[in-house]
Order: sequence, then C-alpha cells, then structure tokens
Amino acid sequence: MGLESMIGGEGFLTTKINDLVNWGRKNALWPMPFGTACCAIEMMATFSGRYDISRFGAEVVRFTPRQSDLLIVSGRICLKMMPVLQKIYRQMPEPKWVISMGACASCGGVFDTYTMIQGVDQFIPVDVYVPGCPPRPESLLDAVFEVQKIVSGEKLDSGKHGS
Amino acid sequence: MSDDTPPPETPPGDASPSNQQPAPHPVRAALPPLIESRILDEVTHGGQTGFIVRTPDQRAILEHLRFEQNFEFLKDITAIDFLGRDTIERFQVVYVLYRIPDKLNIRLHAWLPEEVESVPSVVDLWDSARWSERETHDMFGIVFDGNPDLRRLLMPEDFPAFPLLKDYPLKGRGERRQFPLVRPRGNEMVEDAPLPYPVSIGRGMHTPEYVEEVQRESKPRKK
Amino acid sequence: MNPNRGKSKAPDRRASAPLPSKRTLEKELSKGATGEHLKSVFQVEEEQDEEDSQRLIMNFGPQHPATHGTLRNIFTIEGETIVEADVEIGFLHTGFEKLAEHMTYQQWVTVTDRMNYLSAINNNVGYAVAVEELLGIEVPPRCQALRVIMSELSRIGDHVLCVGLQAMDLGAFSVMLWAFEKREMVYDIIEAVCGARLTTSWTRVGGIMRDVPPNFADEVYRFLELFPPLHAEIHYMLKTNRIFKDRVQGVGVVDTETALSWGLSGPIGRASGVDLDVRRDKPYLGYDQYNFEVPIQDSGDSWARYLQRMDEIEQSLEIIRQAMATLPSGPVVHEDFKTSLPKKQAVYTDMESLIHHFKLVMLGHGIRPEEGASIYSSTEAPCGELGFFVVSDGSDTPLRIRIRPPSFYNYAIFPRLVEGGMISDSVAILSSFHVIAGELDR
Repeated sequence: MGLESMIGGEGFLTTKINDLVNWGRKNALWPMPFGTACCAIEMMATFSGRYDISRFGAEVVRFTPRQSDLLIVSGRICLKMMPVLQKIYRQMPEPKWVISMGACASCGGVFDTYTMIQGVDQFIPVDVYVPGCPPRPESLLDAVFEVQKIVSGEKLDSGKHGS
Repeated sequence: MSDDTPPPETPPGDASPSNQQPAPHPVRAALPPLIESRILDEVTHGGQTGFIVRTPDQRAILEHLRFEQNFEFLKDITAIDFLGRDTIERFQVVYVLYRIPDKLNIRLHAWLPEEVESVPSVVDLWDSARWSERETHDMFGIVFDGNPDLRRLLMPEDFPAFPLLKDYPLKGRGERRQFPLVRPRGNEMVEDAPLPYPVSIGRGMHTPEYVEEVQRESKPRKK
Repeated sequence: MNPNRGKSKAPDRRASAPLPSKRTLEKELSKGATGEHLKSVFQVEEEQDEEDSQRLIMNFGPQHPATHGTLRNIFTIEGETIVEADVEIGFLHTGFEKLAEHMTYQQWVTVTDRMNYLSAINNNVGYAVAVEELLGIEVPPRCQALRVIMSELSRIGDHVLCVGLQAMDLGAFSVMLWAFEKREMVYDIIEAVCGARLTTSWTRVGGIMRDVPPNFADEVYRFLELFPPLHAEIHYMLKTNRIFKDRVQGVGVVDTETALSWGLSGPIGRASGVDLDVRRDKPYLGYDQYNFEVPIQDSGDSWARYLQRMDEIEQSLEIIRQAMATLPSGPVVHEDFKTSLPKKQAVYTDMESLIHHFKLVMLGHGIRPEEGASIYSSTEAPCGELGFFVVSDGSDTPLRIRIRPPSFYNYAIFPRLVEGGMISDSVAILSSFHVIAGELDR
C-alpha cells in the first residue's frame, strides 16, 4: 500500500520536483500549537488517542516556532497576547501556513470587548478558519486536510517559499 | 441555602429579619463602640450581611476583625463604580471575609469619593490582598496606600484607561486596532497597515456601522 | 554551569580567594544552596558580581508548553537556581466582568463556560446558584441532583486531566494520553446531556436547559463501573514511580498558616491542611444529603497536591453513586415562570406560557432582582472556591458581577514558592497548582 506498489517492478517513477516536495510537505506538517484557551483543550484532544492527528502525519508537535510550518492559533487572543503571536509568526521559517481555530481567534466570538482582538486575520495572514466555539476535533482535522490541499497546490517559485 | 450559621453564643432566631426588634449582628456587636459607631448602615440579603462605612474607617474595622474576631480568610477585594447613580459617593470598595470555625461570611463596603486619592491597603493583614488590590487598581484606578507592588496586573503597562469604570466603553477606544499587519513578502517579513475592520454579521456586532446596516436593510424595499 | 566562567577575566583582583573546584560547587548545590549562599561560600565580591554577573533573566512563558496556558514567569537565575521570580498575567484577559454589565442574567451563562474551560459545568452551576440566591429561589430537587452529578463528573474530568498534565510535565507522557482517554468518557456524558463537549452552557437561572436523555443513567453507571479501575491504574503508575516521587516530594511546600493568609482554597489549600470545602461548610444544591468526606493532607508539597486530587476523585465518585441512587423525578426548572422559561410545547399551546416566554426573552422585562441587592455566593469548583459577587440595580443587566477566581489566588503565591529552588522544581510546582489561564485572567 506504500509507494512501492505505485512504482511497480521498474523501480523508478517520474514526477515533477514541485509535486514531490509538496507531497512530502503536506504529509508531514509540523504544527506549532499556539493554544491559549478552550480551543487548546480541544486541540490537545485532537492530538491524543481518540482522534489521533498522527494518522494524517501532523502529530510532531513542536513548541518552538523555528521547527514548525503550521501555526494553529487556538483560543482568545487579547491585547497583550497579539505581539507574542506576531513574534512567533515571524520566527517561523518559510513556507508556513496558519489555521485560525475557533470563533474567538477568527472573529472575536462572543467577546466583543475592549481587550479582545476581533480576528487575528487583521494582523497576520490566515489560510484556514475553523468555525465553532470550540470546534470539535473533527473540525480541526478537516482544517488540516484543507491546509494539505493548499500545500499540494503550492508552486516552488511562489513567494511562499522564500525564493 | 445561603444561610451562614450564626455563632453559637447568640440564640437562634435573633438575626432573622422577621423579628421586630432585630438584635445587632454578632460581628457588629463584638466591635468596640468607637469603631462600631463608624458603621453607616448594614445590608442583609439572602442571609449575608454587609457593613457600610466611609473609606478610611474600614482599616480599623478590618484590623479588629482580623486580630480580635479571628477572620483568617480574606476571600476577595473588589470595587463597584456607581457612576451616574444616586449614591453618596462614586466608588465602593468591597471586602469579603470568612471565619472558619463558625463558617461565617461577611462583607464590608467602604464608600470612596472620586476625588480621594487612595484607600489604606490591608496587605499586612492578609497576603491574599496583594493581587486583589493590584487588580482593583488595574481595573478602577483606585490606589491602595501601602501595597508594595501596585503595578498593572491584567492590562498592558501602557494601557491608557481603567476598563471597569462605567464611563469606559465596552469596546474600548480603539486600543485593539493598534498592531501592524505582519506578512511575508519575498524573503522577509514586512509590516503593513492592518486590514480594514470588516462590517458583517458575526464580526463587530453592534458597531455603529452594523446598526446602520441593519436599519438600512430592514426598511421596506421599493418595487 | 561552570561557576568560574566569566570570573577568570579578572584574576588579579581575586588573587586571594581560591577558585572553587567543580566538586565543591556540586556539593553545595546538592545541599540546596541558593545564590546568596553560594556567594558566601565562594567569597564572590559584590561589586564584581555586578560587573560580570552570572545572573540572567529567563522568560518562562507566555507561550511555553509547561505553563498550560498563557502565564509569563520571569525568573532571575544563577546557574540552575532561581534567585528572583516574578509573574505577569493578563495574557488571556477577556473582559468578562465588563461584559456582564452589558448582558442579561440569562445571557451571561454562556460566558461563564469560557472561564474554567476544563470544567465548564462547575462554572455554570456556580453562577446559577449565585443568581438564584440573589433572587431567593430554590430549584426543584431533580435539578439539584442533576447539577450535583454533572458537577462531580466535571470535577473528576478536571482532576484527572490535571494529574495527567502534572505527570506529562515531569516526563510521563503516557499518563497524559491515558488521562485524556478517561476524560473522553466524561465528555461523552456531557455531550449526551447538553450537546457540547467543552462549553456547555448547561444551566439556566432557575433550572437547567433540559432534562437528561433516557440513557443518562446507563451511561453514568457505565462510567462508575469503568472509571475506578483506570483511576487505580494511573494512581499505581504514579505512586510507585520513583522519578515522579523524587520530583514532587518536598517541592513547593506551603504550610497551613501561609495557605490561609494567601487565600488558597480547593485541593491546593486542603493539601496544605486548610480544612475548607464549600460543599460541606455551606451546603448548596443539597450537598448535605450526601455522605462524603473532605480529604485533607498535611505535608503541603506537590506530592500532597497530587494525592489530594486522587482522593477527591474517589469522594466525587461516591457522591455520584449516592446521587444516582436517590435521583428524584419531577421538573428540572423552577416552576415560577417569572424567572425561567416555560416549556416550548406549553408556549405553543398556552396563552400564559406564551406571555411568560415573550416577557423573559424581550429586553426590559426579564429577570429583575430587587434594586440594590447584592450577594457573594461561592461554590466549590475543581480549582477551589469559585465565588460570584453579584450586585443588582433593579434592571435586566447586573450593576456589577465580580468573579472570585480560585486560580487567581492560588497562583499569587507561586513566585514565593519557586524562589531559591531549581528551574526544574518550578515546573513540578506549577503543574501541581493547575492554573487555568481563562479563569486567572477572565
């Protein structure tokens, strides 16, 4: 069921380097969990036994941004936290993708107050939004699939890869 | 449900509001007359009593309650802003105390005029006052005289306002739009002006723009 | 870290003082020597210490896996020893109390979920009890029993997760995975009851949102059957684990006097010998009908806090068993429809109910406690005593709601505890305190 079954008896295959790189990248996303509040607990539930994100190759959780390529912003982001989030986003190497998980990160949710950022997409680019308060683990898994779709469409000479 | 058991030395039923001649609350009765005379009023609701005083007086009462009446547990310190209401002063600083042996909860409300700079701190009586006074300072701008560490606690150091004051708007005064948009361009990260604040349902509910949009949309359309 | 690093630059000034050997240093450190002590041992002159200092400031958080949230600890360290500690909180400040002044009593239930998101039901129940005390109403017995069962289930989930995270921080990652597996059982019940896993919004002022589904009793009994062996398994895994015990025993000791003065409550206070439990001292929701003990420890270290949580889980299971055995039938909503919504079916068919529903939902006719009434009401949440100080001005929205967050008071003592210890001890202490940032910052 692996690669060898596709190659057949000949022992080689032809593909574009672009596709090969994207194939590797999308099946080995290393998430940086930027968890602050309730969504972080659901994110942890996604990483643990029952929902098991490692089935889709995204279980290598790195708590340092310099080793990750998928930023999962999960939870409320407030005035004090936004500079931290931006700093972490800056520290991540290219290429990188961002999931904004939950209503609070995406649009402020129920908290339309003086200290809450009304959507992190005003201040950092976001690729995939996950609705829900908090989203169920299945929703987060779906968002990871969406990111994988985006990754498989990337071009090597686009600005995304730091060229 | 909420009845705090009165101490055993008082006969039961004396503190009940149905009694025509209610005896003073046992805590109040145990105060020395000089301090007791400072108490302006007493509120009772749901079996819980609060004493109302003016601001520098609470220090003497709290000292007495801590050392003589054995209130070992300071549950909370907070404040209330009565802006625009018919009250004698603008602020009230509230202390919630608990006595463990007879499980008694009482509150102390201290009126604080707007122009008075500070209230005496109780950090030397209970250590738990350290952070609650800091938070009350952060949220209301009330200065606790004697608290060694009165920095802002929850809000950023450079935040220009005290958010729980009644004249501070719920949505702030634009502080939450102060950041640049960080995005990659080529090989480096650049800072841009933030994206415009979108006006749509679910985002920025009840903004003036949203209310205007709703009013515009809800008018009957011409054929 | 080599103690001589940086000092050798100026050998002429310190010619008289012999350079300490690495062995001496290790010996001193093993005695638990602090920075001040080390300075006296090695005769480091004060001015020289300022000139080329070994002290450095380390930020631990706000985004760090071991903080489990958004806490920022600023440690001044000398080698591995923390000389000075300071904490900065507010990275999750959301403005709950300000928001309360702009929402009706019934609406604000949804916001209380997001406070301690590990056990949202306890927050819901605490808030509902507070407003009911303010209004002076009592909910029906079935509602009380259901609230008790769900709170205790939620407490078990919270404690189990806390123990799992405590073990994970100290290296036992599998315990955390087990704990999450156990928590999923609690989630299943909560989801069956209210439709959401985390943010439940289950209670209403004057009742609960709806009666439990028909298979509720089966699910709970299944949980009561399956959970104790798993609980014993975790306990066996950790209590016989040499590494875990060495890391937590004797670390972060809080004595009873200090704990009282700093306002520690809940498992953390009881682990230090503070004999306080709101469920026993001021029984709400008919907790006095159930026969349970309040476990208490006396050593006050991280190990005691772990044991305390494990003991409390057993007591919670006991309460659930008793409450399930005596679960009464009847309505689950307070029958006075001035405060609680009538049944939807009745609204469709009955004029009176329609009017009640309409008035409660319209702004300006809802729940209105009497003007000037105020109450401080507390319940026992998994982290400690959760208090709500509610002041009414006679209108639909409260004048002020103040939350007494247990984590806030529990966390305030943390910098005092880690000073003089090692960096690795700070992790062992912090994870045993189980600080929930959403509740801490509100």
